[in-house]
Amino acid sequence: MTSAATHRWKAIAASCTGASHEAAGTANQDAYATLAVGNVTAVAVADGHGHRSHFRSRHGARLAVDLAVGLMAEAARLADGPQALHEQLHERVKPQLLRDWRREVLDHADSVPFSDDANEKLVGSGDEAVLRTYGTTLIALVGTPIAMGFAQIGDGDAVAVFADGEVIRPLPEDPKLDGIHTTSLSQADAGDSLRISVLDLSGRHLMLGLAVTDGFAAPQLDGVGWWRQVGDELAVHLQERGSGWICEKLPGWLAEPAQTGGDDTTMGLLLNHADSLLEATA
Amino acid sequence: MSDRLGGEVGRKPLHFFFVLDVSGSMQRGGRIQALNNAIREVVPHLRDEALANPHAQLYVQVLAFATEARWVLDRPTPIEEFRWRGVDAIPQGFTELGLALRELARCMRELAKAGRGFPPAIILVSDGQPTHTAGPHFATGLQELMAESWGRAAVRLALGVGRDADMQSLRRFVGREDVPLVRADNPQQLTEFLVWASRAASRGSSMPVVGETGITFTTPEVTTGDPIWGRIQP
Repeated sequence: MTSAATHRWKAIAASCTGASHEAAGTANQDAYATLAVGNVTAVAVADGHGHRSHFRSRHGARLAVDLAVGLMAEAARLADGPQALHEQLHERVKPQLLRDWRREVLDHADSVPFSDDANEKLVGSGDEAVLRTYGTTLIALVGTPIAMGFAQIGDGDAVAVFADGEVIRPLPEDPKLDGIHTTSLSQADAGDSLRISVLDLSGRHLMLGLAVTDGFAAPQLDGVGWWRQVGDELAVHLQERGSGWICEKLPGWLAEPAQTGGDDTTMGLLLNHADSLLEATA
Repeated sequence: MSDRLGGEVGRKPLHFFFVLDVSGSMQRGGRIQALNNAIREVVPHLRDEALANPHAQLYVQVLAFATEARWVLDRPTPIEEFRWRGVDAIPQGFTELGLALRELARCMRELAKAGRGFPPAIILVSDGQPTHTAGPHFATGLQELMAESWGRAAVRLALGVGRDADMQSLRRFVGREDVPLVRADNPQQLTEFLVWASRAASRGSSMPVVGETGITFTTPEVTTGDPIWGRIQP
């Protein structure tokens, strides 16, 4: 068993454009970002809403992940333990993320005005109407030597895999997510739907954290337990083949769900260096 | 070693429900025969819709209601395998729509448990006023349906048949003022409206949904023809 102090994280992420977007000639509306600062590493994925009324959603998703990794990493650097990280995420990151995202979206809309396209002309007046066009979900993870923090709004999944074999979804369930509808960063009461959780790793060894947009889960035939299998398999791959191999394979793993389900599919991972066979022996 | 991460994947199910009034009044003016013909006409259109959407697996179920609600087709049947053998109207049968909606609510609960799929599509066809002689009131059945998340999310369309159709109740079932509500006054209109509704519901259901549904529906073309069901029946 590796000691708690050895939690060091490597972030990897990839995205695959959904087949329905390929067919329609539309861009991938998902986004991801990674950031490593000292012994803190963050990864975030976001799924810009696909409906045509959210025609700026890929920009919303991009702004969301860039902001999230920066804020999460900064909060983790300031926190001296799991409890402090929890407080930082709740009291600092949550309000700042929502405030900054709204500001950056409105700045973007100012600098890139809506066109005369019929769809864009239908946008109502006021900030809320503009924000809706950028609507997106967000899942962000930050890893430190003794904690991993999670933040999520909207659908998609966050998963954590411990060295003892336990695979969990660390965030509380959102009753508003019914498998059909999603909550969004663009909603006026986004703060009520942003879920936060922190895992204390001072006494437990975490192998990896995972964030994935719903394009991956939607076509899974095992709609209930797919995430456990994915977590188990990633843990085995990490130990037997290393993080470099996972990084190489990740885009290919996303291709089949994106092709079958039709939706953009994006996954971000925080992998424990100590569990990666190739790195441990390098 | 498999080049897949996790388990098998497949197309997302899109559950399509026909909810058909087979009360005694459907015997009048050849309505039930026209309804059976219309459903046969719809099938190739739904197959086309399914072919055009490679990411959805379209399943059909059919619920008929008169004095009782009973599944004519209770197994979710892939549209490719769906064959319509027709349904008979029940002589002196009432219009227990509340009972049908209660049964639909139960079905929506099961779908929600499965946890995957596009929002279901429900098309209700009725020619009369809902009764509540044996089952719950229409409003109670609707309330039960809307209490289910998948019932609320379902794309719901309705067709009235003839002048006695209770369009007010059908509007309450549809729920949205901007969704066209149509009444067929002859067999040709019934077929055209059912084709329209089926295609619209299929397309509407397989779109991503954020918050409340943002689907817009185009009003179907209204053909003329002899409004045989629009006149007072003898």
